[in-house]
Amino acid sequence: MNKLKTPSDLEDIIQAISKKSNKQCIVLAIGTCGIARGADKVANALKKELKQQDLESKVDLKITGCHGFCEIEPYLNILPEEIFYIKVQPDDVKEIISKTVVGKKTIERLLYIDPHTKKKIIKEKDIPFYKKQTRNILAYNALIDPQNIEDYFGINGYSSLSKVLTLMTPEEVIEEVKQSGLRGRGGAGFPTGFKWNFCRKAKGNKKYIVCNADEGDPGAYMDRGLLEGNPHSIIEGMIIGAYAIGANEGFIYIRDEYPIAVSTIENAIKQARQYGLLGKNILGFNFDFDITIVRGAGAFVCGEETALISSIEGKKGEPRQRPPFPAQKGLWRKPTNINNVETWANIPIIISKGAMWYAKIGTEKSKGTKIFSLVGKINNTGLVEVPMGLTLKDLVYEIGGGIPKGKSFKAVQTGGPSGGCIPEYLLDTPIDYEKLKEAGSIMGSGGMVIMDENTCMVDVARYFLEFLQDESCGKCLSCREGTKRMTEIVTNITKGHGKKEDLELLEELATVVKDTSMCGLGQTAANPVLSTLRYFREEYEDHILNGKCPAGVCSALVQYLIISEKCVGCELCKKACAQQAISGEKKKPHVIDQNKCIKCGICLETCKVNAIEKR
Amino acid sequence: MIQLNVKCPHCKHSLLDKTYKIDGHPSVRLLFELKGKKDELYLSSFYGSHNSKIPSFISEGDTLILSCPWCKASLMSTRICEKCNTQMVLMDIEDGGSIQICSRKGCKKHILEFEDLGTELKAFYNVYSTFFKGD
Amino acid sequence: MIELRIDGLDVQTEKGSSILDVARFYGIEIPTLCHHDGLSPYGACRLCIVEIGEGDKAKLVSSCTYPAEQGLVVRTNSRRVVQARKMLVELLLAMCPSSKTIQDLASAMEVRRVRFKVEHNDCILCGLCVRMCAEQMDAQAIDFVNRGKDRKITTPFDAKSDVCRTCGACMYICPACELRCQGPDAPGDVCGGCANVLPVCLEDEDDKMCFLDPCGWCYKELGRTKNREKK
Repeated sequence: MNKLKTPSDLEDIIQAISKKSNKQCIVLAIGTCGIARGADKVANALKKELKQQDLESKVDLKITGCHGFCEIEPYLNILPEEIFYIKVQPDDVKEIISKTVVGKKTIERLLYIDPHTKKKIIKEKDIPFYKKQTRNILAYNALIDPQNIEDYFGINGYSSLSKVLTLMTPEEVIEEVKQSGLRGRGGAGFPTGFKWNFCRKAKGNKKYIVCNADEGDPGAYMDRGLLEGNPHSIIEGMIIGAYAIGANEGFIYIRDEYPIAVSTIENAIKQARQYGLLGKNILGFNFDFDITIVRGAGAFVCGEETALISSIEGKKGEPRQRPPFPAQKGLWRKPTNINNVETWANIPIIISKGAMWYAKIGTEKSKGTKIFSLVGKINNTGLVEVPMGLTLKDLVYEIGGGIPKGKSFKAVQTGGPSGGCIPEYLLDTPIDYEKLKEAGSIMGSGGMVIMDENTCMVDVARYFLEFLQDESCGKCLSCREGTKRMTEIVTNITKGHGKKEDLELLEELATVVKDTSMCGLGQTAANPVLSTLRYFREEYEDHILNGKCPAGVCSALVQYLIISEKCVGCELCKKACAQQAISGEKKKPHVIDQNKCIKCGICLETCKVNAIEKR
Repeated sequence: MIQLNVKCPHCKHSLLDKTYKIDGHPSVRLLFELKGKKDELYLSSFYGSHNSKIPSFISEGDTLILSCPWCKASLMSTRICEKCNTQMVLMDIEDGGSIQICSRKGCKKHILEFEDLGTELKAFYNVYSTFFKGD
Repeated sequence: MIELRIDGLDVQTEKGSSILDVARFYGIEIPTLCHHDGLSPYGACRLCIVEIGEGDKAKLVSSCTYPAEQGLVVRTNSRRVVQARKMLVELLLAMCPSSKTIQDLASAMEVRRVRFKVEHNDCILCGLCVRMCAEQMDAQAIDFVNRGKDRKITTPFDAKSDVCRTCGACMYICPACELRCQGPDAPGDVCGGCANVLPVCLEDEDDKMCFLDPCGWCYKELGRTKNREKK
């Protein structure tokens, strides 16, 4: 690898790599999600089989990051024919290589079947899940090997940086980002161009830029998808940002629970340095910049910008009062600009395609596309990228494929623990920073948890409160004690010990926690409670006044009963019950001893005649 | 884009006029004096916006003396515009801090601009930071 | 000089002061717990919150840490502030009902009940001892460890400290260490003795017997008892 000393060096290498070859290539996605489904085993099987059939020199194996459709992982794409196989197992590999790679025939059982048309789809890009998205950023995940910087050159990588250094002044870069309307993708939606400008205007010779990769929201893994799939887009964005702001040092604060993402970005930085894209005199210009990686240590609160700064400084991850703001006094009291991973990843495309192009996508106040992680009770689980303004209904049904097992939609939780639940009658809400706020939730970093009729909203509130209680830094009284007491009250409600006065107390406490906490964690800690109370108050009341959990989730309020008329006395449930709570003779109706029953539900699953009911 | 609620530093009365809107929001109403003539003008309360309603007899390059329509006190300050060397006009904003505007019509700084970076940051954070891991 | 308005009063101060500094200078009382004049402000107890700004953008901030700014409008006793302070005191009482400081705050703010399960902790995590040890005694023997509900104050690795000089400054400044006054029997977790019961001292004695400040009930009632005597 030779250092690229001028923009034309970069041009040359891009040209050389872009020459498309017609060599056969198997593209296999191995992100953390893929590994969870065994994609690494498929990779090993592929390597072995290719060697065995003596095809190593004829067929390439390209390992990419997650393409987005995690529900059907492991999946692979065979190029140049573009044959896409889903849910591939190591045992399928031999047939794939013999029949498809060599024999050029498709294996029908491995193709994706459209649930509406029931037709089999051969090409990845024709799958409705992908087709209906606007994958401006995520599409590249399917094309490049994140461990190989040459692949990034192959998609014109770093040419935005070259354009910036050659043709634009820092002020012009900031103006371009301002015009694009890009807003922070970490959740608050702060106009990025203005944010960069603040840091640029701040007094001081030493400035820092930081990438916040501490993605902590349960269920959100968009940043992981980008870090593992296209790390160079983030690096390129950061170099451009550093040039615009006037910084020479950057940090990527990444949560330690993402080991693959950490090693991928570390490797990417190393390769960028080898090519001279990080370090001194980048592309021959009088501009130095390098990036250091700082790993988190398991604290959700360190995603908050002032706590993140404290953590990088080696101190306790405790938020600090603002003012002063990080743009003026941040890391080591120097002007610092912090942006989310996805925000940085949007920069190269804004520079290459222009602010006007970017501003055409989205709504009046929320421009561009956003990546969401669609998880929970949804058919098409995965990472999706959609333009701002798409309705939640389209996201859930058109792209998400609706709710599995024919159950009905109940709510979508957006924004993680700081967000709220949006009920069915508000599904026409467009995805937009302001509109989501009006509905009582927030955009957040992009986690979208879908809930169905068997989700208890009180239990959901309890889950998030427990999470926040655990993650609170504990400095201020309101947040530390407030989340603790709110958790206590809601847990009592789920156990059937709720009192009528509890709801009033909960609302009063929630308001105080929201008003008086010092940092955003505390200020938004009450959101899960307030939002579920707003839209699902009857569920709370059902728990408290009637001792019932309508969704059938809260174990203390649920009873398992054997319907004696239906019971055939097969003794299956009796044998399955670990608590020995079921009694009865052969061929005679059985009975569950409610005192011994722990509501695990195994008996219901075991019964073959539907004689057990959950009430 | 953020809207600024400006007020007179002397009498603290809000300078916003709901009856005349610019950029879809209440405008900033001020009294002015030019060559002996006295009248009123309206500026946009939006940070960075050049929209305004100014009587036609004011030409480019004219320097105005601006005052508060409520207490009639002068809003002129001792600050000098770095672009055209004219006196700046200072107003307070509701969340604390001040904004300034150059008193010469046509000057690039003849728009609402924050007095210092700290105030500007606070105004933006007030509007956008309603979320925990703000970005 | 910076000009701002507190509770309708136009005040002036120098750059660098906090809202609490200005308020105290002008005699406006704001309750505090984790604040001490000789120590750096911390902002943990949230009792000193005041409302700044106007309309729907108004928010509550801790006056001990928030810098005074030109044109700021501050309200120290708006409805939102008072309700918040009362709830915060309720949370404190549920943590450590044996502390006189907290019981006095409860009396002063008319907090009569605790609606949470009461725990008897020795520490309210205000951080005064930590700052005292670090800033005034220059020892830094103790500090906060752990996060959230596991947060506690201790020496590094809970080991015996080499730098602790057993000066006792931490005990001196601790609000939880100051136990409830031994006056009339408290009926429950909220002492409210001062508020609920006539203090024995003034009825029977000619002098204030509790010597503890700032209970305040005596002062509030003094006017009434004096008038009763006159009659």
